[in-house]
Amino acid sequence: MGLPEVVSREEWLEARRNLLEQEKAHTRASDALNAERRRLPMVRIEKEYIFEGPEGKLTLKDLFGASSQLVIQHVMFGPDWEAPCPSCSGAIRLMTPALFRGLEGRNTTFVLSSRAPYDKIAKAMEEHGWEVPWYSSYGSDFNFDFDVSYDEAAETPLLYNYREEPWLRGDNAPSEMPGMSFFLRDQDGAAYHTYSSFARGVEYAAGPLYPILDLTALGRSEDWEEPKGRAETPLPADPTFGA
Amino acid sequence: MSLPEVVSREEWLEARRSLLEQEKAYTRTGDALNADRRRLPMVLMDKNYVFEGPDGQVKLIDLFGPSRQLIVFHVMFGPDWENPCPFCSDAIRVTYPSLFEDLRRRDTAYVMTSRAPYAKIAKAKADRGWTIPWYSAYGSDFNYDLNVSFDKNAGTVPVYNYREEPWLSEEDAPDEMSGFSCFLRDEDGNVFHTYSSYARGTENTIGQYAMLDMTALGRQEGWEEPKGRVETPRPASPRFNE
Repeated sequence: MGLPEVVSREEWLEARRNLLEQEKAHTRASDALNAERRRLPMVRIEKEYIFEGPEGKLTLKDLFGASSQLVIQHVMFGPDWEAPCPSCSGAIRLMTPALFRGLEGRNTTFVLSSRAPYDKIAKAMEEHGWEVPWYSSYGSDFNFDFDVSYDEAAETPLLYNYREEPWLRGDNAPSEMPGMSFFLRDQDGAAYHTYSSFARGVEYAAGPLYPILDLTALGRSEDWEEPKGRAETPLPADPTFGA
Repeated sequence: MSLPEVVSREEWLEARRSLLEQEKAYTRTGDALNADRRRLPMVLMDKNYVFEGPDGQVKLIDLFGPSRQLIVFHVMFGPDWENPCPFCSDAIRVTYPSLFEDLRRRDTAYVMTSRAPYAKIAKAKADRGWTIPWYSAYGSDFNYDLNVSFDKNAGTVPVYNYREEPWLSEEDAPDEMSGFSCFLRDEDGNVFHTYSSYARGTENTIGQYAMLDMTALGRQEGWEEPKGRVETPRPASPRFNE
């Protein structure tokens, strides 16, 4: 295994200061990208989507609670599945009550939704001891309209991450894909779709695991990472690099 | 307040696809930056730092447990303070025990350290119901050497985020600053310092910002563009000292 070169504190500091300039440039690029994201237009939600939660049926507007913004994590859990996808489950395990409260403190409600019927969701939460606001969109067009569930019989192209993906019609194609969708409501109560992100676009929002590992010498220990040879048995990329 | 322009789904998709290209470029730059970070050299830690935890005194290498890597979150909690800093506390609150397990599965131990004596740390944990691994660096040079605690009488200019910061010697300047330090050990049990990051360099580890950054209102802080999305924006946190 290859480890970083051992140097004196002075030599390290020089290399570290150079990297810091790159890091600051990247932070500024991120600030600019976030501003571009906020300058995106938005689309009014005209359809009435119905969800099911612990207290029965509710609409998309109800999911906002008291906040102006709503963030939905599309958890892969199809109607016929017995359990949610392991990778999504890994993200749920890292969600603390403080995360939801902290977001509410910034006028933002965060919920999970899946196409599995609510009783399956309730069972999964109970089995794992998860206390997250998680709703079923079973029977609604919600997941199809936001390109995270696929009807193979649909005549329109199947899109994932804003690109037509013919493989989503294959026999072994998953019926569900992961992503996050973002909504805003105005003072008159109208709801708007402002943004959705998929694949690697949500890897930092899915929790602190990767942001923390990315600061380390061994990284995520995944096989695509440079420099090679840091981990004895590297893991495959997760999320997979479809794009 | 000004909200985003309302358009048709087709118009939105066109704008969204353009942004996606920028997002992908940014992700690739991030991958390259992470690779450069991993290419940094490292420095042998040859001082014998002693920490105190629930089971008494431990050394830096003990904090690794069975893992090859160790990440230390420098929580701001000075010896004379009654409570840890509120911002660090928020970062602790969003941390679940499963994060420590997930990191261990990737050969990485994650712990918190502060300069407050262990009794204060134990009390802060008990008061708040926190179960995190949190050690005291009280009495050791650890915090000073990693530039997160400052001795105002040292006669040298304090360095924070790799820059001399004379204001940190002023009387009302904080004794403690926050940061993350990463260590690696080799098969012979030597410990190396690979990386430290401070200020905005650690903000992605906090959790909620990555999510808020994808929303139309953002973090709702005063520096963000475009202006006018929120009635009463917050100040920047972490602050922008640059």
